[in-house]
Amino acid sequence: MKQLVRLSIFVGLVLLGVALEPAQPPTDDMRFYVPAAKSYASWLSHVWAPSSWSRATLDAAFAPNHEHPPVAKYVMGLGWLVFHGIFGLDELTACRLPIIMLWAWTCLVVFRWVLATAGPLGALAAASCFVAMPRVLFDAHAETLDFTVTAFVTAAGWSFLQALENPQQRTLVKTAVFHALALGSKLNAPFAVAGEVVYWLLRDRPRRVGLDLRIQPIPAALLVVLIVAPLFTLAMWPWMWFDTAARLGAYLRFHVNHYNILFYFAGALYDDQPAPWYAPITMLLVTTPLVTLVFALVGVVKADSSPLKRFAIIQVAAQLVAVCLPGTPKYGGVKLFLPVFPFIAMLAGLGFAMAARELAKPFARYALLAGCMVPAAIGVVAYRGYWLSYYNELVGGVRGATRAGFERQYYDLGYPALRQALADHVGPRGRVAVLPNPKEYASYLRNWGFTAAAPEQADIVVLTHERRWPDYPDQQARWRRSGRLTTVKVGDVPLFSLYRGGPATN
Amino acid sequence: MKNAIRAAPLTSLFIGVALFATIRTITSLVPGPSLASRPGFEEAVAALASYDPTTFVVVSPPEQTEALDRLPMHLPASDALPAKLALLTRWSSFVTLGPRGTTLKGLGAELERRSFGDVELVRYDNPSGERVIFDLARDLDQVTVTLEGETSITCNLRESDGLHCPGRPSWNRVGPAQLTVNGGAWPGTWAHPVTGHDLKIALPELQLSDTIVLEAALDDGVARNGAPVELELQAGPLVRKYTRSAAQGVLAARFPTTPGSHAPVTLTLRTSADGQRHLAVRLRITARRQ
Repeated sequence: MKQLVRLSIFVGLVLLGVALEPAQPPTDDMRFYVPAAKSYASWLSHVWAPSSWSRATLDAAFAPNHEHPPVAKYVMGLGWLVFHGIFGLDELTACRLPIIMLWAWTCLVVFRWVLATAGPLGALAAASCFVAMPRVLFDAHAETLDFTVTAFVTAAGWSFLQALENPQQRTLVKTAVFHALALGSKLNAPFAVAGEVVYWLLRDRPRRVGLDLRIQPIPAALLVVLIVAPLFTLAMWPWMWFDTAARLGAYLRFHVNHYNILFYFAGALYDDQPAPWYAPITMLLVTTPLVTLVFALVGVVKADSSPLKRFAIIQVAAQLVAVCLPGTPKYGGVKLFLPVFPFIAMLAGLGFAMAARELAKPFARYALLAGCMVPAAIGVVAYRGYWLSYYNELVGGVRGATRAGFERQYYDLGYPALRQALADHVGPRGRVAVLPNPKEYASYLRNWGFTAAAPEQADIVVLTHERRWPDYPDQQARWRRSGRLTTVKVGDVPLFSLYRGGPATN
Repeated sequence: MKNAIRAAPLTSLFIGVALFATIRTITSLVPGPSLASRPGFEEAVAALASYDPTTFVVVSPPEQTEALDRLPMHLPASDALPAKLALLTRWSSFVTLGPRGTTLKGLGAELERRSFGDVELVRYDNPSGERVIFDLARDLDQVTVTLEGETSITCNLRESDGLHCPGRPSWNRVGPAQLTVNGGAWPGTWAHPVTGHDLKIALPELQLSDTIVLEAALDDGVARNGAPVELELQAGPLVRKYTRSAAQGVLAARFPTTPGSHAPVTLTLRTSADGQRHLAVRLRITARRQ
């Protein structure tokens, strides 16, 4: 019966996820991850053939996007096999559906984890806060690695705590599998493991014996995390089976020397130099709904001490410290530390449950929760289709954030509204130039039936209002003279404008 | 009320925060008053008509796209200030158009503040004190590069590291580079000369001002390894020749020009032996503050 209820809730959440955003814009990562997902899935579908295991076949199948581990692409690839291959959905939607399923599953994990500590009200508050995070919703609908690692880091943490308390075969196997999946998704996972080590060291504190500091016996759960899970990850990543040392070295070098990505933060542009250390914390504070932040703060300060509370605080700290370190790349809103959000939602659930004790009547408690979720729900609905532009009430939404010098968008999104605006102003195969960054839009234009062109030869010039591109002001100064045709806005803030193309008029 | 807060402080806090957040969310989504509808906007726009086109106008706050459409078309205007100093130097001054109390950060002291009803124009000077009409590093996308010898090649392959010459090795490019000169970093534009060829960098025809500034340097590690490099700078009928000897250091030259004159400008580089001539140049057309 319990399983049936869980399955029903899961299906309901998947349907909610799909209903919330059936037409999310593609990201500029689509051209990397979707072909890789297809390649890995094609290999999976022939896994029974002996020739699938030759080095040539494996290298060919796993060469696409080999600079990132494979699990998120397996997830998307399975969606492609099932929803595209069997049900005939378009490739992008098919790849995204399993990500939405992971989001629904993570909501359930958040609910069940908090349920055990804070009861149904706290669990509902945590799950509600997690559902109503617009920035997270974007990644939960995107063909990228970030939500996959978030989901598996959350599940890995849960299984680790269970295995630590109750080291049975079942919990240890779950721990190994979820950690392997997390480590095989993205580089955030090792930070979560570091947090788990810290948690264990604080839980089973080293003893001082004379002048020596003796650590407690390492629990089986931690051994599984540190030894078994990485081996499982390696087993899931055929690219690493050959020339392992060289390829592992190349993987680490790629991430240590990651190329700079432009980031406009607090009115300053960062390209060669990373943004200041506090940029990720600031982004967290201005993009998480205010009510959730306050709930979580109450959870940290006031909620009863519990393994979940301590673990969640450490996990948030571990992810944030990793991205705040000097020299660590900082860009792309909150995507680089997305795994903090389930834990913030859990702390919020603990905080709400603590506060709700002040109310005697259960109805009043649930009514309070429903009332408190209103602003976040408005944010989810009002920014639908533009969740990456969401900013919270502290900065006054996207308008206040834009005035304060934050990015109003990034990720070179192929908004459906852009496609529609182009269709309204130029015919099929019309020539279109997108500025200031034309590179990422060529594939969208091709898919939409337009022709990418140089601005001087274009019928329409699209200007995305992104101040991270140094030549944005000059481009706007130039193209405004040729005549603005339309502007698409969110929260009264322009995201992109269409101008007449052609030779410069200045 | 006080009793209720005392009895349930956290609940009261949550209700207060939720109310604040709801109001703030809704008000942030409602379109604000447009700049173009404010009293004095038309007068401010009329006043802008007298500014010269080396003045860059910034509308504030940044979401005022409609106001931007109404500004005089002879003026460069945007809803944002260029985010890099090298891009700011293109303009002689900056004017922001916005509601009363508007300021532009990062430009230093105001030169002038003019009020028109609810709208103000605030003028700032170019923060570097010198206007750079053309900078090879900044304006590389405006130049034409050719390699002229027995045959002439147009170097029009645009890569992230500059303009490459088809069929030539990858070092035969004109693009951003950082050399080590006199022991320190020396960012410039890579322009490695080729034996028996003229590497020509042609600028678009520009309105000249006081000076063309040319600097050239060889990387310390190879400065003494080969032949000198000849640099020929031509602005209209005027030609000047310089030599970057095979030694460490920077060749710095100033080529005076007539302000307001229009002329094509070309920099030609040649050498009798191109081996290891790791040469970078800086070429700027500048105007002193009026």
